[in-house]
Amino acid sequence: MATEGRQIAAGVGAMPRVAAKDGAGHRAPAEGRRSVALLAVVWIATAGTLLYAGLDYYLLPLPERAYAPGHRVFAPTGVVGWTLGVAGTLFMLVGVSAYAARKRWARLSGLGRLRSWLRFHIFLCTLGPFLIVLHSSFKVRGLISIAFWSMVLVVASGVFGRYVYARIPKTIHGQFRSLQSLRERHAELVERLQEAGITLPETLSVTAGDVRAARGLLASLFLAVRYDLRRRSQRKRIRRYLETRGVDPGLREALARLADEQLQLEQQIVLLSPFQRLFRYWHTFHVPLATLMLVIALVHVAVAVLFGYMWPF
Amino acid sequence: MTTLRIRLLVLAIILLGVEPLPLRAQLISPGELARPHAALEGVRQCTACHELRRPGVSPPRCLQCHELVRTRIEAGRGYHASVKDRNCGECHKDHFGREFDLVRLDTASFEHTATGFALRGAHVGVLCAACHAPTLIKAADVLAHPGGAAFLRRTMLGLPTACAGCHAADDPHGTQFRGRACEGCHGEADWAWAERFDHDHAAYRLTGLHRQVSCEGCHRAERVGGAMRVRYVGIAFASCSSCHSDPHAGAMGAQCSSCHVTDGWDRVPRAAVEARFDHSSTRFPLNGRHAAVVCAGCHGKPAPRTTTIAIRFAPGTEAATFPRPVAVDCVACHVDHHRGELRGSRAGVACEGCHTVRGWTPVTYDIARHGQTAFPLTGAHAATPCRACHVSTDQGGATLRLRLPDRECVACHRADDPHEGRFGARSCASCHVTETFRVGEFDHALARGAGCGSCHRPDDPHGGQFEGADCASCHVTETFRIAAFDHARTRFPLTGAHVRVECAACHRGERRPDGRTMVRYRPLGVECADCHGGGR
Repeated sequence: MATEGRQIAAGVGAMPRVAAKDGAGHRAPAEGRRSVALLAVVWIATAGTLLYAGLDYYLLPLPERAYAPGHRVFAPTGVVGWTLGVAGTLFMLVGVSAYAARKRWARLSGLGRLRSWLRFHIFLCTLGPFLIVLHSSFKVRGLISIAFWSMVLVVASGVFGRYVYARIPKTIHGQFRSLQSLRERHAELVERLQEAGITLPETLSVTAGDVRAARGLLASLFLAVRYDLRRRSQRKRIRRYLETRGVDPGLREALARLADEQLQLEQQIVLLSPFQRLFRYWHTFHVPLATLMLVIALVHVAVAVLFGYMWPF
Repeated sequence: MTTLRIRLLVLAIILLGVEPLPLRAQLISPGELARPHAALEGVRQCTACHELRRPGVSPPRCLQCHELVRTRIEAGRGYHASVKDRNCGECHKDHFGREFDLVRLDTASFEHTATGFALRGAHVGVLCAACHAPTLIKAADVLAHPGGAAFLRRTMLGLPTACAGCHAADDPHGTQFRGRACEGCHGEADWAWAERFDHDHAAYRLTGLHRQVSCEGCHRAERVGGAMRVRYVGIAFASCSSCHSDPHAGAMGAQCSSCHVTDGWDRVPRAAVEARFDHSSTRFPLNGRHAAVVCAGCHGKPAPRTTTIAIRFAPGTEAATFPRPVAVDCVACHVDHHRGELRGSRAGVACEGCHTVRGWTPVTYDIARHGQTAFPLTGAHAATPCRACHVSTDQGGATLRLRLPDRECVACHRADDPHEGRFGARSCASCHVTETFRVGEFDHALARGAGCGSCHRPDDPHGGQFEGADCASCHVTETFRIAAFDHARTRFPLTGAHVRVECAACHRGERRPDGRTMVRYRPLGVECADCHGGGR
């Protein structure tokens, strides 16, 4: 076990220097963080307001709803209920089609960063389903329930996918980085630390056990979660290690950053292959379910129109 | 990788398959139908209720099954006729599960008036189920509904609207009002209060005191149609005696109403009685002045502003007498202005001895009847008015004093006595008669020997000048006036110019000590100077 870890470390160390701009950190720029916050606020405000408005109705048991004062408003065929259904569907259609188009059409590739498009996709495709949940007034039956649960699964898998996706290192343009480029960067860091007289011990980061565990998809997921949970304590240990080695406090912060990046790279190298596989599988799950949902939703809309619920106003 | 993809697909199918399996029956239904509609479940039966491209249900399709409602809407009856232009689905929703209540009636806000039977009075506040009970349902089509007893317990249809539909058992009248609607008399507030009943519309109208009599006074519980019931119909009322007993024992005839009205037995309307009552049927026919007297003149005085006469019966005499006063004596009604002075006289107590019903005057008393008294009227007395002797004893002069116990002439003629009492107690009749006071055949010889003075001294105008002389030397009995006095027989015979001188030139009048005047005859001087003065 221990030897395997060493080998990776050695391999990394053998790599040539790469440009520092291709750093492994995925921190969003300040502008991006602001837009995330803005979208979150809009999301919560919209969903919260609508939920609060109809809560009295939604909490009623089914047989009581027909005689409730809110029935004409919040029922799926009600003024608000119908609007929620149409709006939720449109949100999802726009959110999916725009993101898919941006990813597939070369013509749109220059238009904004893919990261922003994904953010927008996530915003519309989580708020949309929430509106659909309100449209259903928390009661689904028949064929449309398949679409409903598909939607729930799609959203859940989206959250999962987002997690997996975030853990696959990407270039500044969003392309997945190769194992080769990661190794090169790792070697560069090891070299720079060694210049400063620092060699990070194995116990600080990836172990041989990690490397073996990363072969299984589920195990690699657990591993990733463990890494995430240990991120903070790992940074502390790096600092303590640098202290025990008597590093000049003026240099300590810069070295710690380099060491942190090195260890993170080591983890990414371990997870790269299983996570790329996971992401591919996820893609085959996320997209067909969304398609199924779309088809059934179309049937649902057709039935609604057929029975005269074209326009409730 | 391919195996994994297949695995994932299987997982997806399982995940999605679990849910729709039990729902195959209602693939596009928004929810289970309520139990009564359960037979309509299934994707092929949507259009049993729904019309494509029209939201909600289609009322004609609902009514295809709901025949009872349809027939009532067509007939314009019942609640649903009032909402026939609205969609059934506005009130009756479905697809809310098997146990869903298709009909939820908000009994607090339901406007029962819309059913065509407004709830008023005691009907307000009655529990729905009190009327909407299977036993009260009468409509044949509702009773024939295949839902049977369970349906009858649930439905609101089929109740009659007539009172008897529900209240037949409450009817206490038996057959008395057969064919008449309860609501003609009763309102919905209270059975016991026949609020719409107006006795004026009954065969027997209530007037006067009859209006104050409580209903039970006439309408009593008795055996009607085999049970004890209050009788309202068939009470005899043709005559008063149907209810009242006659205190006159038939003495006044059978027609009470010829005198009586319903304002009270002791009240009889003046106008009616005066017009209708035949007083000659009583012991006191009204004749003469009595005929014109108003009843109240004898029969009590009416209270102010009433048109009736207050009549009071003498206790214990109701059967025999009517009404007071019943005495035929005049004094029962009339005041005796004579203050009883005739009582015991021969004229009798009865006023009618002198008076008639034609008036107090004239009286039937005449000179002939006066002749039967102790003082028959003769001579001038026969022509003397009654009042000259029988003076009025009251201020108005209407009543005369009839009894004059003193029958002597002086009782009346004292003031006329020219003799100033000189005849003392001697009867006037010794000289006078009733024809006239003038004495026609006075026999002076009867007075001879008595001397003139015995009678005429009071007449002596000479004041004692001739005391001791004989009156006859100048006067004769024919008259006191001296026809031809011979002055020559005196101490001073008239001669010469004295012959033509007036008597009074020498014989002057003078006042006597007693105030009377007299002419001085003697003594007078006979010397010239005695009269002529002689230059003194």
